[in-house]
Amino acid sequence: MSISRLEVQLLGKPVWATGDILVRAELDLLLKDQNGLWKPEIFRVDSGSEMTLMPAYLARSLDLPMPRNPVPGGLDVSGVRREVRAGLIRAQVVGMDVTEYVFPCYFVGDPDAPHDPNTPPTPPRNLLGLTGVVDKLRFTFDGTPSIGLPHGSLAVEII
Amino acid sequence: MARITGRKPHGPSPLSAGSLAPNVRPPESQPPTDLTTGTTAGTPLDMEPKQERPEENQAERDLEGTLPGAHEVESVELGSGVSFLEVDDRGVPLVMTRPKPRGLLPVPTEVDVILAREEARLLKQHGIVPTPEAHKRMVDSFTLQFYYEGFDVAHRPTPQGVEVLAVGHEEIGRLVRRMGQEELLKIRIGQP
Repeated sequence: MSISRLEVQLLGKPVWATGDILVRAELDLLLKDQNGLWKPEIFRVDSGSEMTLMPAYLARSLDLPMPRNPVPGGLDVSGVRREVRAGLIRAQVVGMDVTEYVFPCYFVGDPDAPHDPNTPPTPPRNLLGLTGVVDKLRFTFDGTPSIGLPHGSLAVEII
Repeated sequence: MARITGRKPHGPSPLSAGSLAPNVRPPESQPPTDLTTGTTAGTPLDMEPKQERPEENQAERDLEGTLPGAHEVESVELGSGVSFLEVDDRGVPLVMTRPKPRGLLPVPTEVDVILAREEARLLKQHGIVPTPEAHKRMVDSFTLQFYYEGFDVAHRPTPQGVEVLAVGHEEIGRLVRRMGQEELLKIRIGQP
């Protein structure tokens, strides 16, 4: 059965000091690695992002195909100059049909940068942006709470 | 006392709740990568031919190098703005002060407290009581965030709660390389 529409819950993020619950949207994707295996990765759906991005070190650890050379001179990413590899990801949306989407993706940072696993990594995180995505999938945010979706939902539809 | 710091915003705050005001700060003063030497690239990776952008060609690459101002850094807007991270009085993220258990995560009291408050709010404001499945999803999500907010974590849901399998990209890399496709489909990887 082909599933062309998916509804996922909007997630709550607690602010422990105040008791507030912030809301965010995440989507589970499967990304094709260099050997053809599908690796799971969670992306934050961000309509404020012009481009989908992943940290390069993370893409490397998952054996995802990544351009050899970075963009000459780097890019200013939201105010910070960074090393960027302009590539693409081959992705499936978990819970929808097995269509393989090709999304442009910027791999940000040094893929070989050492990182202490005992400290949270610095931004950026996985973001699913607009370019090359919204011409294939339609996203609808609905904050209406329900018993099954207490903070509302994100609907994803094939265009 | 916990404080809240936000990343540098771009545009108006997306928050609609009036009770929470971001304490906006400029981006962390991490020295930007020196990209002028051309030595920052990592180990070259073989890339499938299809990984190259289809619209790129030699003529375009040559032209790009000779355009006036081509050396100027272009900007890309990635991320809509504010991401909140709670810190202590010394500016240390609170999540760093919490234990980092592996395996099945114990649900901390803080999660029970904040979830009870949230469900009371949902009942009072919207007249709804989350289903047991929705309640469990919130417990698992809040528990993951309590221990591992901002970390790269491989985990999977179980009937007893959320199970952490690996933390950090190197550990995650070793984990997934040991797994076959069927096992990979049962786990999730992301930053809580």
